[in-house]
Amino acid sequence: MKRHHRGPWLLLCCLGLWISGAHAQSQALNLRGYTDASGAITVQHLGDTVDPYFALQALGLAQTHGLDISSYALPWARWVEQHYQEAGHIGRYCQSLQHKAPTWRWCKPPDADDSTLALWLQFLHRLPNSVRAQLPIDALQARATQDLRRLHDPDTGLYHVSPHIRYSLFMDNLEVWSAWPSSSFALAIQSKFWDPKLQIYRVSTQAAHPHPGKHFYPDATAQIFPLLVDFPHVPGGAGSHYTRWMQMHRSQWLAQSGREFPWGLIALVAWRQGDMSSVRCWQQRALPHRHSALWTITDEVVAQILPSPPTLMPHPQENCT
Amino acid sequence: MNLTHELNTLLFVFVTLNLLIWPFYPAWREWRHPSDAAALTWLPASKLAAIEASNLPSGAVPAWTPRPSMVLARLPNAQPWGMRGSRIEGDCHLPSGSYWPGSLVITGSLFCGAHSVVEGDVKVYGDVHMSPGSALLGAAFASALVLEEEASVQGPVVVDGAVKLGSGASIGSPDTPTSLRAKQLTRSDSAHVHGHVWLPENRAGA
Repeated sequence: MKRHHRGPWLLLCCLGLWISGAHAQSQALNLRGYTDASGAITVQHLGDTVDPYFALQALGLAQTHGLDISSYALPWARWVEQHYQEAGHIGRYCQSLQHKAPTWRWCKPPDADDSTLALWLQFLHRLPNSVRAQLPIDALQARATQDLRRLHDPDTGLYHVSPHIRYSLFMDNLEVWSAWPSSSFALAIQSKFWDPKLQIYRVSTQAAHPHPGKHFYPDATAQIFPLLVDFPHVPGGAGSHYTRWMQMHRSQWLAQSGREFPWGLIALVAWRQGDMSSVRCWQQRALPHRHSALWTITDEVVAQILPSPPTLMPHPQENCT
Repeated sequence: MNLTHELNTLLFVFVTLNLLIWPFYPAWREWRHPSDAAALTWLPASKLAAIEASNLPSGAVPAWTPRPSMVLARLPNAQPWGMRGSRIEGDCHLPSGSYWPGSLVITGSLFCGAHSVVEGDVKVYGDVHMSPGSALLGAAFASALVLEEEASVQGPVVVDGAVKLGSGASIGSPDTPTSLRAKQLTRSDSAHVHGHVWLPENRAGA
């Protein structure tokens, strides 16, 4: 009799262990439609352009939020390594047909050397040892470090956009700081970009750029960017800064979907701030445009990071306007 | 002998005239069909007034993006059109921060989001509205054109109706002057036009 009672319990225990084991593994990132056999990662679904900045940003977000990128990490690293070495510079690449096979060729210079190099270094640093062992990792890091150091402005403590664009951008410098955190660099960012009179961040060090700007992009989006990288000097703290931003810009942000890119990065910030109402509203508005012309690889990764919506309808009492 | 002398004289005159006249042929051809790099004068232009660029403030064309721009592979409702071009039935909205690497033919109106860039030319049956910081690197043909602050068009620009230039907006550049033709031009004091401007008389204002 005892043997018959023990059997079902053993089965249940095994089933429980199996389920808990499955949940302990990271969910794998799925970039079907954004990659090809060469390891390239495109900006848009079935796109014909590779901009390493966006792929690195997306992979970085996936890594830090627990998604398994192992299927893409090594092929992508090799792809960037090859193109970086060929040109001596990370560029932007367009697809062309050579001998009836698609290839990627340099077609545009990058417009953000500082961010791209910083994200590349961060990506290399976070690779598991098994992947790093398959790359000339020291040479890659040394090269990128050298190129990024050339952009440093010792007078301001900030980084220029590129060797030819000799001014500094707020969001770019935040990304460089997230890859190379240092207290002195953080203080430089805060002192050069924070406007204490208007209580907002400047978008650029260019005197000619209108300040304060009145537009969602780039002016409003710049204000929430520090929360994306956990910048420590946000006046009043991250929570109150986030609340203030949402009071001023939430409806404008949620209205982006359908005509503009949906700014999934802001949905990610909302999730990290525990604002599930805004997350659900974003999912309701943005997910119908998934993989469309107005959807980027960063939005795709954010959609996979966020908890799946139980339905696409928000709670009845939520206001998504 | 007289015949020989006459023939020699005739030959001498013929050769001399050719040596004197033919060096002027390129100048004559240019005068008849100008093809140099400067802005061309439309003929006939009886109802249009030419405003020389020297009468308008000059300045550099601002060209920067506050974030990496998003190179678009496709646009909603777009069909391939010519080489690296697309045709869109109805209106077209370019997202802020995007980069369109080709030309556009649009049967409706074109709205360029902030800091968006169109690499080619646009032919728009309706209006073109360019948000702050947006840039069109080619020619524009439209019913009306609005450039908000810091927006720019490389040119040439041909507009059936009105052109409105906001603060810091520009058409053309000091290195590449162009031409603008419109029925009416309204501009901020800090807006720049480089090249020839053709308007009905008394239709330029700030």
